[in-house]
Amino acid sequence: MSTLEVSNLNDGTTTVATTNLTNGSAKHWCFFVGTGTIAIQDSFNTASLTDHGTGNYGANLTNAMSNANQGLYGMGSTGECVDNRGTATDARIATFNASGTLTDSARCNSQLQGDLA
Amino acid sequence: MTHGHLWDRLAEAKTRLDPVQSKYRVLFEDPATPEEPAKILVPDPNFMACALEGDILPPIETYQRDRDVPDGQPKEHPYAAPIPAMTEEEAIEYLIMKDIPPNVWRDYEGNRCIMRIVPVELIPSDRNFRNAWRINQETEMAA
Repeated sequence: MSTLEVSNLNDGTTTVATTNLTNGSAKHWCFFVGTGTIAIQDSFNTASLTDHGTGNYGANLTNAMSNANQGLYGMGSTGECVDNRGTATDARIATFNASGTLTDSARCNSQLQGDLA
Repeated sequence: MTHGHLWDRLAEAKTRLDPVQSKYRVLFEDPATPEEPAKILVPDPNFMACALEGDILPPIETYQRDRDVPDGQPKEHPYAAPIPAMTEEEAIEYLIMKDIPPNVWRDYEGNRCIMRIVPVELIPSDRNFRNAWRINQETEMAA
């Protein structure tokens, strides 16, 4: 594998720093089924998923983040999904129904952006 | 040849390795939160592929030492030299030591069974009363 070392990319009119790409890309993502027998369908930088209870999931990272203050995004097919006290090594999300009750979600996603350890 | 950063190795591995769904799950109860239900650790298929392939994941000891490193300080595991291939059972043990708190798998001295590796088919697919699940002490399965 060869390595291209450049600081900027230019398409002829616009110049972008390569750090924009590295800093702006997702450092972790995970798509999983949160109902029935829970299983991860696809992912990146995920070691495992912990099922903490109804609607309460945590994706454990293979490569930790530098600290807990990272951009965590979650989506669940039941409605609301929130950041649920993650750390530098896990991305915790909780999924709710329209009444605000924790509910298992058939299709769940988590994604982290920020700085790697 | 340098082994580079763990994240780069994971990215390269994702392009060439097929995911491997594990046939195991790990049930555990955390003595630090006795009011919470039994938890279930689900291995990631891409992680399992990396573990079975070898030369991608760092030694488990680096994760354990990094537990004591404060947030924001340099961590050891992203830069450590990778380890050889593991079997599926060794990969599950690796995940237990990495992703389950040590007070479950190392420090617990009680009589109750609080952790069990089980085949995935023993995990109930009916999640009614999920928040009341405990590890059954008689059959050593979730109930």
